[in-house]
Amino acid sequence: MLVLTRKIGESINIGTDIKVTIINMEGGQVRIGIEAPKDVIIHREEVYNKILEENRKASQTTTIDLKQIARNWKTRKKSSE
Amino acid sequence: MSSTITVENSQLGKITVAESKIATFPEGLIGFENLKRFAIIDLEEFEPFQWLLCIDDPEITFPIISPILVIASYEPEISREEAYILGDFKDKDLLLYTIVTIRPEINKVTANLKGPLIIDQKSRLGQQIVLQDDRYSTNQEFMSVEEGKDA
Repeated sequence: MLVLTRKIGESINIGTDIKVTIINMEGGQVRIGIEAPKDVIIHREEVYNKILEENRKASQTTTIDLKQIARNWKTRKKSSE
Repeated sequence: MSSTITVENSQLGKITVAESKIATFPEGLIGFENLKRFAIIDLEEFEPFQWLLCIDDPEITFPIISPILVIASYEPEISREEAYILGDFKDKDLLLYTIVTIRPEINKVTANLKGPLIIDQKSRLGQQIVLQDDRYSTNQEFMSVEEGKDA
């Protein structure tokens, strides 16, 4: 990994069209500004990974399982009516 | 005459969908980036859940539900920048879904309200959005797997 030291307000250019700027540093947190073309996807890594994990898990769902919870849903709805 | 596509899934059997009902996700789903075309399958036995079926690989399916059935007040802020795939869309044309995960090990059914699916009914373009909105979680619990039994 390339490691660079930057001060507040300084930037890093990645290629010709991505610019990362250090906006602020406070209490162990860094605020970063990113300028990039619209088609470059930028996510906070932990949120992205959590969604990835949910998608993978959900794709393993069997029809038996979904049928079961659909039945539970209907039962619950009836009993609350 | 509208044309249809028939695909086969080992659990759901043969499914025929109108081509006009197929949505294209240019970036796929997160973790499934190479899968682009999906259809929403309504079958009575699974109501109120639906299946998001991948037309490109029909063995790939995701259980989905309308997020307002999970949280009635669900109304995420989705900016044009976040939904950049859809281009110029009108809010009234958007369909919103959330992917459901069944977790028998903790007796919970959860919905991913942080990464909803949006489909523009006009353009038939879809996208899984990663919301900046921190009110919503990737695993919002909303029912048990086995009712009346605690985890």
